[in-house]
Amino acid sequence: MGGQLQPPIHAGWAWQYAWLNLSVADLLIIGLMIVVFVAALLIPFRGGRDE
Amino acid sequence: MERNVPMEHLLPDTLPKFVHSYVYMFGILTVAALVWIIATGTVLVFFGPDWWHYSPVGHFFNSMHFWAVQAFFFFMVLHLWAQFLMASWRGGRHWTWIGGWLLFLVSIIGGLTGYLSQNNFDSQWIAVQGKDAMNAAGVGGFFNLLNFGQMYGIHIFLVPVVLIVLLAAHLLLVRKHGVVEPLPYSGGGTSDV
Amino acid sequence: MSRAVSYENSKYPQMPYDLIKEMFVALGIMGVLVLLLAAVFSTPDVPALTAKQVVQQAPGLLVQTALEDLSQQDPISTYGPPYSNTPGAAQSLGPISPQTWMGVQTPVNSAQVEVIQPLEKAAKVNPALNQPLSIWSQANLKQQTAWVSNVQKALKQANIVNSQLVLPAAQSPSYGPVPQLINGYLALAQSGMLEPAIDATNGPVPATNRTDSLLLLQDESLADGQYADKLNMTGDEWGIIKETGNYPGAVWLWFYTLLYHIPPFSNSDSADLWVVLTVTIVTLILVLTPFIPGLRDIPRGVKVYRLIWRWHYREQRRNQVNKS
Repeated sequence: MGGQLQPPIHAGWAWQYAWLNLSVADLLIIGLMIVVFVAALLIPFRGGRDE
Repeated sequence: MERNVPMEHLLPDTLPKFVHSYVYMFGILTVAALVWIIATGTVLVFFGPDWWHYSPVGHFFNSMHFWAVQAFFFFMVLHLWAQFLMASWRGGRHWTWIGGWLLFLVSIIGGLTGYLSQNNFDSQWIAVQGKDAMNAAGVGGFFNLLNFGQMYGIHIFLVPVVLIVLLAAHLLLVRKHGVVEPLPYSGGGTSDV
Repeated sequence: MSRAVSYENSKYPQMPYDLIKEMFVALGIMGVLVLLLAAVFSTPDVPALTAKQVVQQAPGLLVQTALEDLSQQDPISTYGPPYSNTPGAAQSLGPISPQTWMGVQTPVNSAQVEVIQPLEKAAKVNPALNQPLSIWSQANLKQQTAWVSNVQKALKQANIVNSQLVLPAAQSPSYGPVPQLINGYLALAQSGMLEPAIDATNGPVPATNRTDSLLLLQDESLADGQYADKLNMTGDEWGIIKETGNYPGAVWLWFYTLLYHIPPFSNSDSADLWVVLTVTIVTLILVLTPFIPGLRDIPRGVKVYRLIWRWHYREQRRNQVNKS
């Protein structure tokens, strides 16, 4: 009786695996956090005028 | 305060040379994000909680506020990872560590009340879902996620005040103790507390 | 105290540092980042789900909601504290039950608050509602429940025509005034005035506390839950850390969300209480890291510090070589 509710936008893309269901946007953020952190660790620091 | 933080160390013009890594930037980037959160938030407050729903300029300020919040938590967590990996609580800096966690927790409350202030489906859904955890914990009767007036007031006034006070204390503690010295290469080193 | 103690950082060779410049650089980087992200991605703004939208798109859901509320079978009437006094409904962990201890602080009588009182307001505009409301209020709870139950059973053969509920005629006496109440309710929802009518129950002060109208649609198996499911945001779908559309959510709540999906939390009636207690305890442990042997030694074990301070260690070795 009656139709279906319709949001004005589609659901966001998500990655579903077993009981995990993570949005692509969230996965990008997490990936970016790891990339930025590793980069900060590895990139030689250019500050500090010691030369 | 003068006794605890000698004036020349409040605004130092030198740093120990071991401060030689980009991970040391995460703290100040978090603070910078907070400044932008407050700046954009102030504009949103001034024009009222419904402004951003019908004004393109308002929506743009809401967008800046949203992305500043994402950046805020992004860099805060990276700052936490870095401080953990450096064991920065050493040398009497345990209050700096504890204060940092308090800042994190209050920020989460800030984020929650902010989401609840949006007056759209996101806030509606977070309210009716989140209430179950609050009620199970026994606080739902006086921290009512469904009460817009309460959540909005906490978000625009109480949380920012508490954050700024905690942040000031956190920064003063960093100045008081100075930057934590590196661990000895082989680990070990002075006691942690 | 402090001037007598040598300032620890002073032991080390120093480099010049312009704190003010660094602050402005950070502000500048962050400002550009925030502006760019806002300009490129904007933010979502899916409007709140209203009773009006439900009537227009899926009226059956509002009918089911109203019928549950009228017979007090809805999730809020059977929720326990702070809304109702339902024995055994509160979450507990052995003797620990903060929900029970705090008691009913915001009582909600669903039949009255969500259905009858708004209809009484609507009756001023639509006097045809006066008679069914009067019949309803004069009946006892048993009679009311029986009427509602008969309507619920007939729903499978019912139809919504022009936003009005049309029930199979054969059983109309035992529906009581319920069909007229429901149709008045659907019309009130259609007008967009249902939520304000619900929240105005508490008096003339303009409603900044919209608890009552939010609780109307909150049923996870009905309106809000189905809407959230279309957006892939229910609890089962890790909705806590999701945002509407393709936007990042509250990623920092990942641990809290994760717990709901693993045993023993996923099997428990008191999952919320368990999760809150666990997150509290884990957070406390992390806060107290400096005092916890083993936990505070992880940085030394993982040895990432050797990367962070590699320049410093190289300088140390160089100085030692120079000295010898």
